[in-house]
Amino acid sequence: MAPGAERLVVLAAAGDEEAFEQIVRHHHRDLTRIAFVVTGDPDIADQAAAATWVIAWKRLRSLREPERLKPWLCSIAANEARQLVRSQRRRRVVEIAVVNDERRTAPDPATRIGDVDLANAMARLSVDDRSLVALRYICGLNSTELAQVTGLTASGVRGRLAKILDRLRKELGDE
Amino acid sequence: MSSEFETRLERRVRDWAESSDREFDAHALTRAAVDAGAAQYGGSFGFRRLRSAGRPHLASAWLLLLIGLLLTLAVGIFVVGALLRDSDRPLARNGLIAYSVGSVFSNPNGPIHLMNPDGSDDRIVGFGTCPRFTSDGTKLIYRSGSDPTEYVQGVLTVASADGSEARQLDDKSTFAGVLSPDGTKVAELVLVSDEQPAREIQLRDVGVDPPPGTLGEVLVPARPDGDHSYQSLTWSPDGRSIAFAVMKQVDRGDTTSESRVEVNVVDVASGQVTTVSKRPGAYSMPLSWSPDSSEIAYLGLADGAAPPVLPPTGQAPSEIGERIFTVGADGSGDRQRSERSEQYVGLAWSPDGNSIAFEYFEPPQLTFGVLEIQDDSLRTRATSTQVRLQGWSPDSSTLLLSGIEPAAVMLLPANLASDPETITTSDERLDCVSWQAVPR
Repeated sequence: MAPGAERLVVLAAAGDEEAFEQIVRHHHRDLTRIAFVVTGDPDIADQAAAATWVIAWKRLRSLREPERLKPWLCSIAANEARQLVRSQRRRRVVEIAVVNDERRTAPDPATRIGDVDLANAMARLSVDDRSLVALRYICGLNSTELAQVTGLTASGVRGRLAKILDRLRKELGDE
Repeated sequence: MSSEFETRLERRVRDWAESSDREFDAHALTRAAVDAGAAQYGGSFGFRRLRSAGRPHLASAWLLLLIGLLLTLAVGIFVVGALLRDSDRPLARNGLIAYSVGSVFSNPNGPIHLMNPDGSDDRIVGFGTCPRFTSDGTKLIYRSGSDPTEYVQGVLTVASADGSEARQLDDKSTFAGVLSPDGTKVAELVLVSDEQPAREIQLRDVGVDPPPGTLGEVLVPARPDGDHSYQSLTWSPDGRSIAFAVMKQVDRGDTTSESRVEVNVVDVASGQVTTVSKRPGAYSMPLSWSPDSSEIAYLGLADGAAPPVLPPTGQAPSEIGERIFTVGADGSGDRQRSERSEQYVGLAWSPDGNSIAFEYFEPPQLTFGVLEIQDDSLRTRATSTQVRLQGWSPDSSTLLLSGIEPAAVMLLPANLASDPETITTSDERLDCVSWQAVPR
């Protein structure tokens, strides 16, 4: 996080809506992407990201270290997405991912097929594992930060990620 | 092999996630979040609807009403008399007030204004953000640049206190740098690496090129453990020391962590660091020096309190109220100043050294207060609009405030006996308001 942005956090924590809006503008895209990787559904991802901002507005002051804003927001978004998936298991993630194709922007058919393959592979992971993938690859959290989020040890996180990678490699035929 | 696959997978996951991108309205998302928060806290505002406690006997009711009226009259006469005596203290009108229009984050090149403390003679003297007078009141300093939310360098302009003779002294300035009181040095927190959150404190002379690839000389290196953060760099008024907070989260072996806080002081000339407090605290952002540079006001938990325990990241910790403390710059004389446990967000020691102004968060807005050093007595006043504490008048009689909605510069008597007086308003946000110390 850029040092200058810490002032934004302090101002927003003190109720400054404009500062908070700047934070929303800067981080919302990443939060919806995280929620999308967890849910596979852009609509639920939007809900999760919006819910993240409600929590962040109420609890920003409890963020003890403002430079850790991004991991904090990412983990809230992932938690919200997980909860929404668990409470809205109305459709399988793979079905949702394909149904909403019109919202996608990938023009290349090969890319679209690749996306569907990845969506299918992701859908077969547990929601906790999808959350781990999202926080690792979209938010860029390292194993220490992932350990803080998940409650695992850092070595436990590395082991879990290795298993997920192994499984995805087989699922995607990338031997 | 595995790392190659991981690189490919990361790219695919990112591309897949980006394919879900949609346009979004940051303002609408903000409004929704704020409104949801206001709905939660709405019960504490406006008139409370009291439950009916049954119908009292009519005669008893009239008797109670009469007694109530008499008591109200007597109390009213006493209070009005006291207020009239207190409000004899006029608002400060000496020196100049500088402010910038537009948020530092949304418009870092907004107009820089100067005006008299009664709002008269308001004029634009330059373009940039966060104007500040030097401690001797002879110079006005402000920054300009392109994007203050990123780690970019901008231009530091130094002008005479009336805005004339503006010179661009420095093009290495970043918006995160903290200027010394005389405007000759900049202290800044700099990331040591992208892998670790730890940062070091660097220092340089304004107008002098730093060593290549740096912003300055290392004043305080990052700690070897790497898992901590320095915050709240605050220069002493004499420019010889910088106070800063050190935050660290210690894993407790389960899913929670313990919050550790230190207040440190570094001697600028020697780089020697003194830990002046290890008192448990929750939110150490505001630090404020006494005007003689001998003491520091900070926030912490009461004696004997255990360090706060934080839940896993992403889960909301409960709010922890803190108290105001003062401690000597050498670590001696640590003293609790306030019994009130609040969510403090700002501290400002008065120029005469007799008071500490503070603001605390009572969702969804701030309340102001003044603590008297002599007897630790407190007084507070809530405002009806979103307002931030910006500082003191040079004579310590008046608090300088900035209104957020509506955008305004306001003055509040330090005895808090009346509402803030608005001296100027703007259609755009006003940021970084500063009051000139009158040159002696």
